Amino acid sequence: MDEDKIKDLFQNFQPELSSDTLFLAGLKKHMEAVELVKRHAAAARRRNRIAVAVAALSGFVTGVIFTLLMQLLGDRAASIEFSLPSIPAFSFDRQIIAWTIMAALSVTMAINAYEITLSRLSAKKTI
Amino acid sequence: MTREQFISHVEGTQKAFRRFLVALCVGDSQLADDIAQEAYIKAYLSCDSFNSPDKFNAWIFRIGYNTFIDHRRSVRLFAGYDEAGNITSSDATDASFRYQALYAALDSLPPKERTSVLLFYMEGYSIKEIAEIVEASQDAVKQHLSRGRNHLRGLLSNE
Repeated sequence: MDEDKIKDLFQNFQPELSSDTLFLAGLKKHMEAVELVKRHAAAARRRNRIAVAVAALSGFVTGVIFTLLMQLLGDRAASIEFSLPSIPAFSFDRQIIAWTIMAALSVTMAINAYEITLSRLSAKKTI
Repeated sequence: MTREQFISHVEGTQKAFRRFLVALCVGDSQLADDIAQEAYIKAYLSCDSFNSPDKFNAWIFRIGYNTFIDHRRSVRLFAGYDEAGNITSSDATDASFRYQALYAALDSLPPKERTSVLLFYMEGYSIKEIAEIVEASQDAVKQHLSRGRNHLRGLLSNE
């Protein structure tokens, strides 16, 4: 008996809802906003991937160039070492100094390439 | 699921879903609409990975229930539990106030019990389906329904 009354209570429950058309129009508007954000996020991810690829390539190329120039850099370091008075700080292995310089330059080049590519791609997109 | 398919599912479910949410929000139809919009947007964001169109109804009700719980948590966080618990039908935007007594009875139920009662009596879901929607065991849902029924009996006897 009570069960039927409870069922009837809910079956007859017809609250006043806002207009279906308005609700759907609002929802479609929100969906469009979501799609816009999704498109922007996808474009940003694509730009980021390109920038990372360019940065990796730049770092690699810089590394290769400096490796090829290693001999020359080594000779220069040796001449500097000979022209300086005997200071313990300059008694490091020349190879280690040269590799450290090369690594720092490669990283700097890669970071710059990433920033430049990203800003150019963003500027192109804005235009 | 394409955008058009999603919209057609929304058109098919929105009335029952909003009615359920109005009851869940004890008559606050503005809040119910906001939760419905949020739930549909959440569903739209993850509809690419949803592959069971025949279960769309249960899926959207689960999202709606979770969104309602999240909303309650945020209200509790910013306004305190007592204030959140005092949302009664007097705050409702349902102009007619026809369901004042029903809203008062629903308001006295904890969210899980309220949801179980509404899904069972209003939407006709089985205990198994309700258990999936509210993420509880079937025994727990049976308990919710039993307690909810007792509350509502009190309401009916006062009418």
